[in-house]
Amino acid sequence: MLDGILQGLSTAFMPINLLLLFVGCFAGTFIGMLPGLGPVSAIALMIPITYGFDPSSGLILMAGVYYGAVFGGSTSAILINAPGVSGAVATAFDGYPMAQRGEAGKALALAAYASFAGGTIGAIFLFAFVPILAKISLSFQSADYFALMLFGLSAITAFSGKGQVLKAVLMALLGLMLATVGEDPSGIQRFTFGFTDLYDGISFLLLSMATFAIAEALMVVLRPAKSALGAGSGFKALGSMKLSKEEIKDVAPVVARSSVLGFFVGVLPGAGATIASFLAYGMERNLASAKEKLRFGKGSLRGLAAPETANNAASTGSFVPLLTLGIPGSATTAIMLGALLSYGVQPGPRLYIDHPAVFWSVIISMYLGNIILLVLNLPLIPYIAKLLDIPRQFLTPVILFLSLIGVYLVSFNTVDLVMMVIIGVIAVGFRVLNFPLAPLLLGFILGGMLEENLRRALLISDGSLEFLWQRPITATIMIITIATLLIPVMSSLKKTKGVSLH
Amino acid sequence: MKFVNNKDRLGSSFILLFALIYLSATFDIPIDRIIAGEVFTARTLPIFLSAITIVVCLIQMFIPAKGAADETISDAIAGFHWQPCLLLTGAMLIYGLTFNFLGFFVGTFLFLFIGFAILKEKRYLLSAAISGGVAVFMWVVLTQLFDVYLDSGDLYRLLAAA
Repeated sequence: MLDGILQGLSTAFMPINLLLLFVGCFAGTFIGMLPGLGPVSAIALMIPITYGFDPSSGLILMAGVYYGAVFGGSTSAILINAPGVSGAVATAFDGYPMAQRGEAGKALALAAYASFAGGTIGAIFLFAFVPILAKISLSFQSADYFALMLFGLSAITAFSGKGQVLKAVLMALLGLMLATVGEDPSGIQRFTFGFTDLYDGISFLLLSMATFAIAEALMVVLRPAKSALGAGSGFKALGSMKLSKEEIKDVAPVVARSSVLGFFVGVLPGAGATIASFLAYGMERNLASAKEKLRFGKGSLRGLAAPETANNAASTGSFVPLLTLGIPGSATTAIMLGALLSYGVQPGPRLYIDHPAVFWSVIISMYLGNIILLVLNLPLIPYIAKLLDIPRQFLTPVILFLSLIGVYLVSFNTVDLVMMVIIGVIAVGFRVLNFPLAPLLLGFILGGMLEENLRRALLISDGSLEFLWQRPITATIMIITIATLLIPVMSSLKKTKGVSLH
Repeated sequence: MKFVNNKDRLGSSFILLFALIYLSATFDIPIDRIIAGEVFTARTLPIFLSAITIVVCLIQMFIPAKGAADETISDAIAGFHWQPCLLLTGAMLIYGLTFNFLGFFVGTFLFLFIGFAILKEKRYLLSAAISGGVAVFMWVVLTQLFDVYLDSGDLYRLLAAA
């Protein structure tokens, strides 16, 4: 393990990788600040550029972009009440009121410190838990992996909104179906309809860019009044960025609690930064005194620190299932999984053994990314915030162009551009109908692995479904999966019962 | 009409239609007699997926979830700016279809310039400067910094030959 850590350290501290991390943090902050363009789009835009890099450098750049985008999302939430990412929605509750009363600088500084603390504690947990989990998961067989894939998919539905469970299931199924296009594991062509461009299947990058970047940009055009993209920053001055000793003392326990909560929520597949930030906000509000409770939603420092810490810790936590089991817990880590696979690196328990430099350099870079964001990005915020003043009519076509060229640079095939536009239009349709797109992406990325592991497990068990409960690990994961699926149903039934009793 | 005007039902109907087409295409997957007897073939997962999708779609269509939004499609699309959205979509399609002919620089310049105009930008000189600036910047970054090959296009070759 020590050898691996040293290899990771030497890789992460290579000048080129430090430069990439800096560029990633900076670019991520820019992109994340644009409402609607979150870490998913930001990382997807980076994939074509990183193809020429070695896996460690590529992942380091993407890790920087990830943290930068999360930070950028919080910046726009505080300055213009337009969270760049869903994980920053709770940040706006108290961050924006602070900005309105002339404390934007303090709010941004607190967000940065809280993010740094959340990221630091998250990185320590990651450092401690990932090797242990990776060792445990080395004993996993195809049946366990199949059960894990099912768990990953079921978790999405458990965390979907009210009345959204079946829609999330449908979108995940749609993603699984799209994943079967192209050559199957035995080499047979499926659903290609004679088109040679479909022989290798639908590109993950194409699908993610079409469903997130293109669809978001088109939604901005469709309903400009509902979008804050390019609407102008609207703030005059940032004010002081200093926090007093009392204020630091006040938020320190909040940061500690929210980091732990955020990390463990982030580990759960499908939960992610959004749920973590809301849970942390809710927890702090419940723990606050009656007097302090009244300040929540009106510019409370605790109300800002809690979600900011939790969303960064959760972002770190979401790497646990990716690095140890090879299953993505969120759309962002799904994109990173796609990138890793394209480098020829298979994430999972073997990553820790086969590619220790990649494994440890990514973990170390995540922490370095937090430092870079704090030391370099915070002083640059007044200048980066000018981006919010770029008019919408200039930003939207540029975003569309970057998305299109990003996909073209991977395949150099213009058919992909046409396919991307068509999928983007369909994605707009789903967004209008309020069908979530993240489960589609997760279904798509898990589809290939799910089929491969199901095939192996069925062949080993000679076609019997007994493999689902024969091994204790498989049975445990299946029980958790069923419980996860039943949670929303049970809570819905409980509520109905409660209503009928009154 | 009320049935069709429901967002959840319309979305589910589209997915149901897709699943039915997918299921019918599943039986076109070529499988020889030897493989057909195996426990897992290229058709196994697709058949299972389409079957479960059809069932879930029907549940979603006929047993609406408690707490599901009652917003109709006409409410959801009220006030949408269709024209610029359709024009931008068309511009993207044309960009994709003419990319090999126009090449990276000309294609990108025209796409951005037309995109700005579609979104009602009247300062054409500024639009041209930004379009050209972005195209040049990206060309320099991609070709000089990342060593990516970008085709100059058939149009450039025709003009150069002339």
